[in-house]
Parts: sequence; C-alpha cells; structure tokens
Amino acid sequence: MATAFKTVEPLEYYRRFLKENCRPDGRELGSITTADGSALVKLGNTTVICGIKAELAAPAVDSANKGYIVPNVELPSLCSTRFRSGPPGEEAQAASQFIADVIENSQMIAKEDLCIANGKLAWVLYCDIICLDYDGNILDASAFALLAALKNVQLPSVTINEETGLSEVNLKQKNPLIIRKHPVATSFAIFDDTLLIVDPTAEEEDLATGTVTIVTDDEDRLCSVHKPGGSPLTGAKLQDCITRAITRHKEVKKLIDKVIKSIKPK
Amino acid sequence: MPLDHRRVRGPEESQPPELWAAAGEVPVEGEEGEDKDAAPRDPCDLRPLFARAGLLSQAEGSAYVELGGGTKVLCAAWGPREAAEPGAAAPAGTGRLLCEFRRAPFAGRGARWRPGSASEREAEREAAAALQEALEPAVRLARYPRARLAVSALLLQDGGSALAAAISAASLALADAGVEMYDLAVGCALCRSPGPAAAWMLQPGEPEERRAVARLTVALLPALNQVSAVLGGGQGSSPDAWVQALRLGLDGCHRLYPVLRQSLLRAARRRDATAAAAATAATA
Amino acid sequence: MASVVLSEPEKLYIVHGVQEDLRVDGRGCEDYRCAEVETDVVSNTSGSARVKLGHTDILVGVKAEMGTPKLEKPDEGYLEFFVDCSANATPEFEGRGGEELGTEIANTLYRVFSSESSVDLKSLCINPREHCWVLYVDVLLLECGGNLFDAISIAVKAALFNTRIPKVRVLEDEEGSKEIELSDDPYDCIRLNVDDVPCIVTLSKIGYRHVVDATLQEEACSLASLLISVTSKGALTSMKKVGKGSLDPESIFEMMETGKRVGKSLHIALQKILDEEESLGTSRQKVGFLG
Repeated sequence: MATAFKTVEPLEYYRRFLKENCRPDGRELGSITTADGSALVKLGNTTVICGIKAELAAPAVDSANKGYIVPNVELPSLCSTRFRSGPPGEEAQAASQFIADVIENSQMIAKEDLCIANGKLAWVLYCDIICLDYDGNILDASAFALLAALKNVQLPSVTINEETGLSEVNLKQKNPLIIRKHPVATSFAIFDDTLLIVDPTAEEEDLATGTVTIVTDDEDRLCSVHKPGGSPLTGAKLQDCITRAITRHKEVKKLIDKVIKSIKPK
Repeated sequence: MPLDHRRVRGPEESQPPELWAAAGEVPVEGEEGEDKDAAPRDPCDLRPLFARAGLLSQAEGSAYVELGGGTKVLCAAWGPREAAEPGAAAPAGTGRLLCEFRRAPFAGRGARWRPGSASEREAEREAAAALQEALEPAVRLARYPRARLAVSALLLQDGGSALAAAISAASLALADAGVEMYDLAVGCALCRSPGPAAAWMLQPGEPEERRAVARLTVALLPALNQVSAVLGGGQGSSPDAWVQALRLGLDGCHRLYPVLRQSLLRAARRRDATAAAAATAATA
Repeated sequence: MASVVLSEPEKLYIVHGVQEDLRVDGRGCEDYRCAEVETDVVSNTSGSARVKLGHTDILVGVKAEMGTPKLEKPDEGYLEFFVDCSANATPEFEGRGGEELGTEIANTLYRVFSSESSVDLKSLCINPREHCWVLYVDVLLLECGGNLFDAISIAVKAALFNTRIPKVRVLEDEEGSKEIELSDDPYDCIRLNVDDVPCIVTLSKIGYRHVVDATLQEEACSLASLLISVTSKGALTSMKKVGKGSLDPESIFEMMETGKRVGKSLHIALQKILDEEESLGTSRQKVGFLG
C-alpha cells in the first residue's frame, strides 16, 4: 500500500514523513555539545549525524583570503552490514566527494568569510557526517544534515593583537556563520528506465536501475546534477525531476527554519 | 606520514580555538563548572542514565545509552554469522566475539580527533579490546561454535565514563539481537580527584575525569555477581582504598541494572506490538 | 599470546595441585620462579636489563633522547614504550602476529606509569616548553614462558635503575638565546629514582585459588587473571582484568591483598640484587647472552 502511494504521489508521501520523522525537537541525540555545530537527520529509517568542529589554521598560500571546509562522510560498519570496519570504502568516498562538490558549487558558505587575517589565520570547518542507520538515500540525508549543522555553528570571535601579533580568542562572544545559500539534494531512483521514485530506501536502491540526485538552491537554480551511471533518462524526465526537486526544496527549507527557530531561544 | 587519499583532507595543521583563548579564561570556566557541580555532588550519586534498545533498522540488535554528563554511545550488534576464517584464534567449539569501538571525530572537547591517525587508531583499538574483555564472559560463546558475533560501538560525545557506557550499551545491543547471554554486563566508571582526602566518585563527568588522579572502570554481571572487567590506574593507594572503590563501583552497577533491563523489556514489547500490528494488517 | 594446548586430565592435574598449594614445579601458590636479572647488557643504550623468569626471557633497553615537552605538560619529560614481539619468541609472532600483544603490553605499561609519582618526570625537563629528555623504553620478548607482564615490569624497572642520562646545562647569553651544553665528563650523569616504579603482579585464578607467576601450562588452566601494579611501599597504582572469564568480587579483593604482599617482597628482592650488582662496579664480570 504505502509503496504504491509513494510511487503515485511521491511528494505527498515525502511531505508526510518529513512531518512525522524530522522532529523539530530532535535534540536529545542531535545536539553534540563537544562540537561547534551539529544536527541529526532522519529520513525514514536512515539516520545521519553531522558534527562540525572549528579549528584555526594558516590559509593556503594560493588562496590567502580563504578558510577551509573539510567535509567527510563516514559509513561505519555500525550503520549496515554492507560496510566493513576500517578506512572509508568506495561509497563513503563518493559521498564525501559529492558533499564537497555541493559545498563548492552552491557557494553556501563564502570561504572568504572564514578568513580572519589575510594570509595568517583562517577557520577550518571540519564537517564530519556519520551515518548511524543506513536505509538508502544517504546523499539527501547527508546534505540535509550538513546544512542544518552549519546553520547552528557558533564561532568564537577572534582578534589579532596588534602588538604581539598573536591571535586572541574570546570564547564568550560567539557569532553564527553566514549561510549564503541553502542547497537541498533530492534523490530519485529509476525503475525499469522510466519509473521515478523519490527518497529510495536501501532495498529500492538495490533494485533500481539507476539513481539521480538533483541539488537546487534558494533561487530555484541547479547546483548539481549527480547521475552516476545506470539507465539513461530522457530530457523530459530529468526536467520533471528538477521541478520536483524545486518543490521539495521549499519543504525542506521550511522545516530547517522551523527547527532552527525552535532551538534559538535558549 | 603517508597521505590518506580516502578522506577529504584539510590543512596539514590546525589548532582548536581554545588554545588561543585569552589567558585564564578557559580554566576559570572549568573551575566555575566544577564548583557548581562539586558542591551538591554526592560521591555515591549516579548520573541519570538513559537507555534505549532496538532503535536501528539495519542492525539485528542495537542500543543507545546516554549519561547525564553528556556521554552518548550508540551500539549495534549482529548475531551469529559463519566465521570467515574458521578456527583462527578461537578454540574449537566456541564462537568468536568481534568488538569494534569508533569515536566520532567531534566527540571530544578541544581538538578534533583525526580519524585514521595513528593515535586515534590506537585509542580505538585499546577501547575495543577493553570492550571485548568485558563482554566475553557475559556471552554464551560455546553455543555458537565456529561462528562470529559482532558488536560495534560508536561514541558520539564523550562526557566522561565513555567506556562504561559503551559496555552497557554493547551488552544491551547483544541482548537485543537475541544472542544467548548469561547476563547483561553493566559498566560503571569511577574517579578520584586530587587531594589527600578526596573520595572516589561514581560516573564522573568529563571535567572531573580530566582532573582525576586515579580512574577505574568496572563491569559486573549482576545476576551472577561476577566481575567481567576491572580496568583502572593512577596514583597509588592501599589495596583497601581500591577495594572500597571497587565496592562502590559494583554497587553502582547493581543500581544501573534495572534501568537497562527496563529498556530491554520496552524494546521487546515495542517489537511485539509492531509484529502484532503487522499481522493484523496482513489479515485485514 | 603464546599458548600451549592441554588435555582435560592435564588441566585437572594442575587444578588439583593448586588446590593443595602444590604446583607442578613444586612451588606454592605465592612463590615466584627463580629469576635472573642482569643490567647494562647492551652497551649502546642509556640503560638496559635482561630478565629471565623461568623460560620467559626479556630484554629492555632505555634510550634517552632530547625532545620537546608535551604541550599540556611543558615542564616534564616523558616515557615512550615500544614492545617488539620477535618471531624468535614463538612462531605465532611471525609477520604481524605479535602486533596486537605488543600494543596491549605497551598500553599496560603506559597505564602503570601514568601515576605521577612513579618516575620523577620533572627531573627530565631541561628547559621548560623547549627541551626535555624523552626516555624510549624498548621491550624485546626473546622467549615466552608465561607471566610476561611481571617479567617485563621487572626488566623495565631494572633498566630504568641502570639508566644514566648525561647532564646538560642551559646557557643563556645577553640576547636571550639559549644554548645547551653537554657535560664533558661521561660519568657526570643523572640517575633516576626508581623507588616508586611499580612492578606488575599477575594473579591467575585457577580453580578456587589464585597463583602468582603462572607458567604457560598454568595460564592454559586459568580463565581470568588480575594484573596489579604495586609499588615498593605496597601501594596499588593500576589494575586490570585479563582473560575470557569473569571473577567473583570477593576473590578480586583477596587477589589484591595477595598482590600487595607478593609485590612488596618482589621489590625488596629486586632492589637487593640491583644494589649488589651496582656495588661490584666496573669490575663486574658480565654474563651477557651466553650465560
């Protein structure tokens, strides 16, 4: 029943579980006080946690006015039997690269904003995304978790002492990060070359003949279209995917705003 | 050091901002926290423990344990599988228990733990070995000849007493997976603050643990009254003092036991309810 | 770890013997095997010792090198442990086989030495925040004949007792730049105070009793052991349960008491030997590896 519903009315289905499962009060597990920003996202059974730690480093020589964003996706053996323990496997590496591309292409954060003193000091944002329960659609969940975690990053203010040339950190005064764009990823599984379903579960992903992930930003512009092989897709179908992705973007944005608003007054 | 191509790398060196905090700011903050904490804290007090079993969809058994100090551990367990390399290490006729312990890079205070670095691998391996020693006596490995059971723990946030929480969570996860066990292994941590008259404290938080001169983690199988893990060290003191600490810790385990059992029961009931609902839906 | 395979009757024989306080080699439950200790056996180290405990054979070398103090402890030197399980000891250690045991032993040593009082780390500091002595303690397992941890801790203590660190002075000129000067006299050196260096006593539970200094055969009969590090004053600095089995709380308390008693006498015996050897001075005939 439910699967049929999902196929026929994907957006409505999506909407419904977003309401049910992404708890605006999901802070019990989602808030990591040792991290500078964190978020937990559940899409159906798939659970992803993102913790962001900010550290200070000297900017790279060729981009003296830029900070760093270092995203890593981990799929530990804990989240599914399909992954082994040890260093990141192929899928984790591909997911890390996808997230890095999303950050780069969408310009969600201007790396110049992370620079404190030109050529001397800049922020490094280590964004570690760990999957806790793997039931498909890891890319949507990871991108979602990253965005939500970035939204609640609070960086301490840093000043450079003119006399000594040393930096001074004021841990009491914290500023939020400026998020310039809100990219949202929407994945589709392709069945039998024609049928499209959003938010595939692990089982559906295994059965699908291909997947496609569309990333859009606030102004309904495309940030990335990620289609790693699989069965081909007609232009019209792809256009259809993009339209759906744009509609979904609004839903997700609304949800993030609601969550952020709910935790702000504390 | 060879480059790690499997992860997105950042700059070669970076420091946590706390390092450059205006002098005196960080310790003062810690002291304040301590005074607020220490004054009303009874050494025999247990921090609130939250446990929930059976929450992951992909694992056969799972458990999440959170301690009042902010420690968060998630565990997943998998029941018997055919061992890949039969007979390796394990004596014939018994199964093998494989333990894994991962620490999320953002789980600690201060600098980020670099995944894949030598020190991180070392720390994880040591914790995994400790977990294994604590769990093995609780599992009926003789019932699973030539098979392997796996448990993996993920530390999401370290707020002190992390290993103890991981032991409790891992044994819950194993039980949730339906693995035959003699009893749950309940972990409990203690530490002693500096000072000659300082007493041992149960379930220390992260700041207390950092300042402590001696630490101890114990694990108990409460129904059998058997100690499955003792791991501790620090400033020397007489055996009597350690005996006292051990007694306090074991008492703590006894008090945590009902909480863990409750969570296991709740998970079983939830599972029954969903199974029943599915059955009625199918007949309808 | 190196192990032997015993049949059930063999195990039963050992267990029954232990029950009567009579072990296979004639010892009582709290007796150590005969131990041989020799220090200063490797000439190109700062300090070294070789310990033979029954069939267990351990060589420890300490090398003092200059390094930078750790960030969190700017006025202290530190110790680094490395354990090499050579394939000579047992074929199981071939390739990477000994790695796991090696790190386990090293971790145990770190825990044993984690107490601030065990070695005066402040005396290893040359120049706060800049220079300090780092003692690299290399442990080499030559033969495994049971009770590795105790033998290693004895050897480490003997090697640290034997360690001589050259004296250095920090010279500061007017501009504030610092220079380190090494003393010309090779006999002008720092010795470490090892009075508070703990020894490990492993107590193996066999049947209803526990024994110290178990042989390989006895280790095969024991499901769980308690490892305790004891200082010469009888203070416990660390403890750890090892093995697949679990222990009764009461027996742990008894083991700790035994461990303290045995550890104290072990320290007295070791110190006596070390002092005796020291008093012989340079005239001592070295036995070395062929003895």
